[in-house]
Amino acid sequence: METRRFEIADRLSLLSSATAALQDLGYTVTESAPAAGVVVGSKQRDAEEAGQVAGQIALTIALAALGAAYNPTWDKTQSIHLTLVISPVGQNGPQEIRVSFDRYITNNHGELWRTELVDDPLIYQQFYDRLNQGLTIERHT
Amino acid sequence: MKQVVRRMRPIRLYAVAVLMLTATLAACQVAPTEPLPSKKSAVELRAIQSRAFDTADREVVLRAMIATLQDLGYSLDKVEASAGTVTATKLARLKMTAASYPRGTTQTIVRANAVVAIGPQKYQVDDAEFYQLDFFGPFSRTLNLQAMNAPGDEAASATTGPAQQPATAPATSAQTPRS
Repeated sequence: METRRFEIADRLSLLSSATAALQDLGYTVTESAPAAGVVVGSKQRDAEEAGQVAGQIALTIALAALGAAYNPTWDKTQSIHLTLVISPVGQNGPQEIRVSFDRYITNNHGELWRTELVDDPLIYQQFYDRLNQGLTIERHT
Repeated sequence: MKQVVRRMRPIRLYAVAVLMLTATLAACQVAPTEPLPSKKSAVELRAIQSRAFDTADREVVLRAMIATLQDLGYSLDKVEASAGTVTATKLARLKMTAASYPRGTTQTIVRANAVVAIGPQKYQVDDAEFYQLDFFGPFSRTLNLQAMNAPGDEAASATTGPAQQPATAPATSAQTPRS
């Protein structure tokens, strides 16, 4: 899920394409170490879901009717981090890209209350699709 | 009597002012950000946190450090290829820095140190088992080289025993996060 192989020997060129793909997806580059084949990015996104908010408000009202106080809490924003590492496979051969994601979720009270590794294959596929598109465009220009 | 009261007024005002100032300073106090240091000695910590590997190829070591941290679910914060250091964070709670430097012409020393956040307080991780099982073990497998005791001084070697076996030094004030 995390790793793909690319038949490109030029690591720096592949790193540039990967950085561009990362920017296309709205990430800001927070660390770049070309000598180590590393680029890291992050982006902030809304994490609010109508169902979760409605559920929490309904719970608050139900508990209030029973005389209990409840502070409704739901996901508000998320910070998604992407770590990308390019490693050579053999000498002057293809390169392997490994990308991993995690996210930190802040609730409506402004507290960091959930952190998790992202294991949705679609997120990974989305990144590699964008990278492949970029590589195709670069090949034809 | 009135004179006594008059004499007390400035003292009371002073006391109130001191109380208000104390309350203001208390309100301004922020959560501690500096990690609580370990109570273990520097020599002991060095033995727990360092291993030597029979390779002089620092690039391979750097790549293995990065791969190991990524395997363990860390996201990278900072990589300094020329200095051979990597800093990474695992789910906002555990921060680790791994650094490599040459020993002689045939070996490389790798030192890892971690800080764990429990609530608002951070603690320096000084548990030998954590470093062995949650960094050097996987790192050795990635590098495909056996880890050896790193410190050159005999005192440090004596405190931990062979690094090839999981260290069993008891955690005193240590926090033992599980990866």
